[in-house]
Amino acid sequence: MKSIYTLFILAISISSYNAQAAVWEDTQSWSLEYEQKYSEWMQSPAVKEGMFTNKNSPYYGVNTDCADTAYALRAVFAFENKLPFAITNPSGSREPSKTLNNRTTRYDKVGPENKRLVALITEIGSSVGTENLTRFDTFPPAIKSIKPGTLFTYKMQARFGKFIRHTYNIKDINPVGSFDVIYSTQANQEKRGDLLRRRDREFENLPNNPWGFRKFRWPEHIGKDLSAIPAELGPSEEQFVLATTTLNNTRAFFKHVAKVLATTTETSGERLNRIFAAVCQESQARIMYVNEGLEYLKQTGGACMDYQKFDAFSTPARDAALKEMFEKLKQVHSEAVSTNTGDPRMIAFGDFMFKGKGAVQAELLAACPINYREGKSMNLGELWSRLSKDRLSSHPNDIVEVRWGEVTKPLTKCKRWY
Amino acid sequence: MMKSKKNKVLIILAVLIIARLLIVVFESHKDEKETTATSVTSSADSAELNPDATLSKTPAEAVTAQNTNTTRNEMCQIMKDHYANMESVKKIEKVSVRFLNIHKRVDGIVYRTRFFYKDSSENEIPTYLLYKEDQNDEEHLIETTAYKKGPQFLKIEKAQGEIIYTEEGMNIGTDQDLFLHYENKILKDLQGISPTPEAKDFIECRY
Repeated sequence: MKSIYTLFILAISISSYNAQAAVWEDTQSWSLEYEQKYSEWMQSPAVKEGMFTNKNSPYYGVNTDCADTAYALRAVFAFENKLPFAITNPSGSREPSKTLNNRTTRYDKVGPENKRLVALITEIGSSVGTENLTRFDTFPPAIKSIKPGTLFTYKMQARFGKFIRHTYNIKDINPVGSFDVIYSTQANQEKRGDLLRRRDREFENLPNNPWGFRKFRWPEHIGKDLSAIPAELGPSEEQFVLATTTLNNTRAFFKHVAKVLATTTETSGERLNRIFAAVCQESQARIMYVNEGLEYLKQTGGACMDYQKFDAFSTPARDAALKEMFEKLKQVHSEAVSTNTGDPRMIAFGDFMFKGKGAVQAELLAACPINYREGKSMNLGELWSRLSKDRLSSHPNDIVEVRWGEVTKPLTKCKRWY
Repeated sequence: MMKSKKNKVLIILAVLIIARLLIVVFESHKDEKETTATSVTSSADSAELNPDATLSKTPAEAVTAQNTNTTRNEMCQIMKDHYANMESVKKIEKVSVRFLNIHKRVDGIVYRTRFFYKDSSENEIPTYLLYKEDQNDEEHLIETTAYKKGPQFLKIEKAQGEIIYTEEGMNIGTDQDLFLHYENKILKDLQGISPTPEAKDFIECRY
C-alpha cells in the first residue's frame, strides 16, 4: 500500500509538471527565410487595424501603445510559425531569467495558447517602452535592408526639455519609397482603439543612434554586440553615419532613403498630391484628438485637468508636427510650381493656401473638409492661416473655438503643465 | 479483488512514468537539435535568400573595419574606466534614470520592483511595477501603477530585506546622449555620444 501511495505521489508530481505549459512550443528557428515570411506577413491583410479589437480575432484583447505594438506583431508572427520569441527581461536579467520568452510557464492557468499569447503581450505592454525596444531588442539595418516589418523609432525633444519617444511599424514600402505604417499610441491604448494606420508616411526625425530604423534581434542575438548579428541580416550603422555627415538634414536624408527603396520615380507634382493627402489626413485626425478632450471635459463638468489628464488630452507635440507637415506641403508646392509638373488643381490649392492667390475656397473645402465642430467647417487654407499664426490652442481645458483658433479668447485659467 | 485493483493501479502508474521518461528523452533530443540549428547560420543559403547579403560591405561600413575597431576598443576601455563607479557618475553628471530594477528578498520571498517610462504622444509616463517570484524564480507581475508608486510597491520598497540584484539604465548629459547600463552597479554596456571632444561619434560598448 505504501508503494502505491509513493507511486501515486510521483505520478501526481509528474502530471503537474506536464500541466505547466509554455506560451507556445517553438519547433522552428529564425532564419532568413522566416524573416522574409515576416515581411510578407506584415504586408498581408492579416496585419490590419482591427486585428486586436475584432471580437472574432484570436488575438482579441491585445491592447497596445506604440512600442508594445511592435512587440505584439513580432510575437504573433512567432506564435503562428512556432518560432521562438524573446525580449530582454524587463524586470531584470538576473539568472536564470535573462529573457522574457515564449517558454515561460507563468501563464499556464490563463487558458488556451492564444490566450496565453495575449497575456504575454499584455505583460510586455505593461513593462517596456520604445527605449527598451530600441536599446535592447533591435538592431539598426543598412538602408537597403529596410523591409516591411522594420521599425522606425525616434526620440525628440519636446517642451521644457522633455523627450518624446515613439515607434512606427513599417507595414509596407510604397512604390515611391514612402512608408505604409501601422502603430498605436498611449491615447489609443487608453480607449482600446483599433491600430492606427498611415498609408503614406514620410518620417520627420533624422536618425540619431540608436534611434532610427531598427529590426528585431533573434533571441540568440539579445545582449550581443552588433558585430554578432549575421551580416546577411544587414546590421549597419550606415543610417547614422549618413545622418551625421553627408545627409545631415531631414529632407536630404529621407530623400536618399526613398531613392534607395523606391521602385518607381515620382515627379514633384505627384509628390504634391501625396503630401496634400497626408496633410489632410493629419488635419482631420486632430478633430478626434480635440474631441476626446472635450468629451472628457463634459464628463468632469469642465474641471481643470491634472498632470495625467493633461498628458492624455493636450496636443502641443502633435500640433507642432502638423505645422511641420504644412511647411513641407508649402515646400513641395513650390517645387511643383518651379518644375511645372503639378496637377493644376493642386497648384491652385497651394497658391491659395500659401500665397493667398485665387478663389478656390469651396473646392478646397470639398477636397478636404475640416468639420471641427457642429455646423462649422474650414478648409486647409484657413487651418494653415490659423496654425501659422499660432492661434490654435493645445490646452485641453480650452473651449472648442479656442482649440481651433476660431477665436483666441477666453483662454482657460487652468494650469498648463508643460 | 483488492490485489487485482492494486496491480491495475501499479500498471497505470508505470505506464505514466514510462511515457514521461520518453517525453523527457524526446525533448532533450529536440533541444539539442535546436541548439545546433540556431547556432549555425548557413551563409550560402543566406546569401541566396537575401539579395542584400553584401550590404554590410558598403563603403560606409568599410570605414568601420579593423583600425576603427581598435580605436573603438580603446575608447570603450577609456569610457569604462571613466564611468565604472555608478555612484560617482550620479554625483557629477546630470542623470536621467530611464529604468531601475531591484530584486529584494523579504521574508523568504523575492520581489522585483521596476521603474521605467512608458511612451505617450506628448510626454513620458513614470511607471512602477511589482513582481513576486515563485519557487522556480519565475516572476509574476502583481501591481502596475502610473505616475505614483502603488501601495504594494511602497510596502516592499520600505520592507526590511536583502537586495540581491539591481539593474539601472540612465542617460547622462544635457542632451541625454549617453546611455549607461549597470547590473549590480557594474557597467555592462554603454551607448551614445562619446564625451571626448576629438571623437564625437556614437559609440556602443558591451563589457
